[in-house]
Amino acid sequence: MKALSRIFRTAAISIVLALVLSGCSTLFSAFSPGRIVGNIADNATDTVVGAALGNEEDKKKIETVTKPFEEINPEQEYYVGRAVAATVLGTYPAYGDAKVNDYLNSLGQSLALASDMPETFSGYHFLAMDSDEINAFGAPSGFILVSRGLLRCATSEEEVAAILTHEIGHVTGKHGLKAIKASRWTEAGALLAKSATSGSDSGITQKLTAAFTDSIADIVKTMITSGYSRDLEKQADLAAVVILQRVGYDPRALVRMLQVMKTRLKPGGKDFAKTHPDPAERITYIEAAIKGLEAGAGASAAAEPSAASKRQARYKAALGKI
Amino acid sequence: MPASRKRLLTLLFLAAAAAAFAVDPAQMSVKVKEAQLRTSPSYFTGKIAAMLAYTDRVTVIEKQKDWARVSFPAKKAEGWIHLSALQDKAIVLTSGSETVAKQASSGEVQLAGKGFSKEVESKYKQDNKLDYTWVDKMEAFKVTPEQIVGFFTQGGLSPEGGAK
Repeated sequence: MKALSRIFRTAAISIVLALVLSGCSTLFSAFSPGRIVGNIADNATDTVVGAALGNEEDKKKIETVTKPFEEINPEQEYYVGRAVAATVLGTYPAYGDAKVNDYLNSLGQSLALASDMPETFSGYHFLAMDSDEINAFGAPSGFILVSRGLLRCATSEEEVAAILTHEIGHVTGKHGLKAIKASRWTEAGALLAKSATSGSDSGITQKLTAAFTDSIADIVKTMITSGYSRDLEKQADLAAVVILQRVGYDPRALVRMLQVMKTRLKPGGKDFAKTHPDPAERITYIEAAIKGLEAGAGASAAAEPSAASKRQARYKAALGKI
Repeated sequence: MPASRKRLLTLLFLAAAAAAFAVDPAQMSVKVKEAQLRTSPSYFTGKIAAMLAYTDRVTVIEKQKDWARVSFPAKKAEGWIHLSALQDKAIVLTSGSETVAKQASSGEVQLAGKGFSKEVESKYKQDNKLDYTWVDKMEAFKVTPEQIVGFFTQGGLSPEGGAK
């Protein structure tokens, strides 16, 4: 009897030991940033659905329906981004000047590394569009297109950086994906789950392509015609301010860009004027954000003034004749 | 102590150890096409130690802000990688096995090349008579890590800002 109780005691100690040991790993998991990243992605999916609907009740209803469907993964976001870029380039042709595009990529890819999402499936890529319109598009996964008309509004490297970081902000905020209508999301979700368990099935591919086509149309329509919500534009502006400040550019370059655009945009024009909030409104909250950053302790060192002439020289060499 | 009790203790201890290590939450997967493993948690001062590829499963050793120090035994590599390149869920290349298919539909694993995939892109491109030439060219614009460091240095910018 005594022996039996000892065995039980030993067993109890072992179980406690096992629980303690496995408990450590559970703790590690619960607090791992990876888990946090996952949660953010989940919330993003909810916002995606919510953004397409105004009504809170409808939002909740759709959220429940789409819950089993996870957020679009980076590989799929990449194919969405490629398709959006290809579709936009059907309307606004590429400007193939190597000097211009090399500079946009050196500057843009450097800035992207200072964003909150430096890694996308295939990285960030920048291309100029041969259009006089004042316009830029940040397609999912980091395919960023900027018109010659918009680049002409800039007079320095930091102003071009302001344009690019605003578009990077649309990518890191996954704003393109948020433009996809909730109904397509539900439909695509069901198809994605089905395609995961089946081999190559032409029926599913056909339906998936239809859902894909509709999703791309939603994004392109939002980017070119209707514009993102004020909230998303604000998010992109604030992301831009943060990136500019982190690497040492003056974030007020964004304000200067908006002031120039304000004078150049034609009311009723089909470009930025149509798809973006009034520059004056944006300048107000951008100024406030900059003041907040400056008051904070985490202010980065400003760019060395002695290198200003080098920045201006490389900017002029690449974009002087844009 | 009788031999039988010793054996029992050993067995119980082994069972405890097995329970502790059965679930390994420190595993993460590379969710981008390719990622650099660096010698320190920075895009600027960290040298590239090895390259990792999409679906590679790594073991997380420690985390520092937005970076994780990981090991990848298959390449005997160890180094730092930005967390935006990693996810918890395993990514599997094929759906050949029934177990994998079940895990995929229940959301336990993610399948690579499924859903909005290369296949769907080809069909979309064909249906809409789209020209992807410039998208492919755009994707081929590569700026090397050395060029990025050079761009920052020449411009008198503070590259460490990017490492947060």
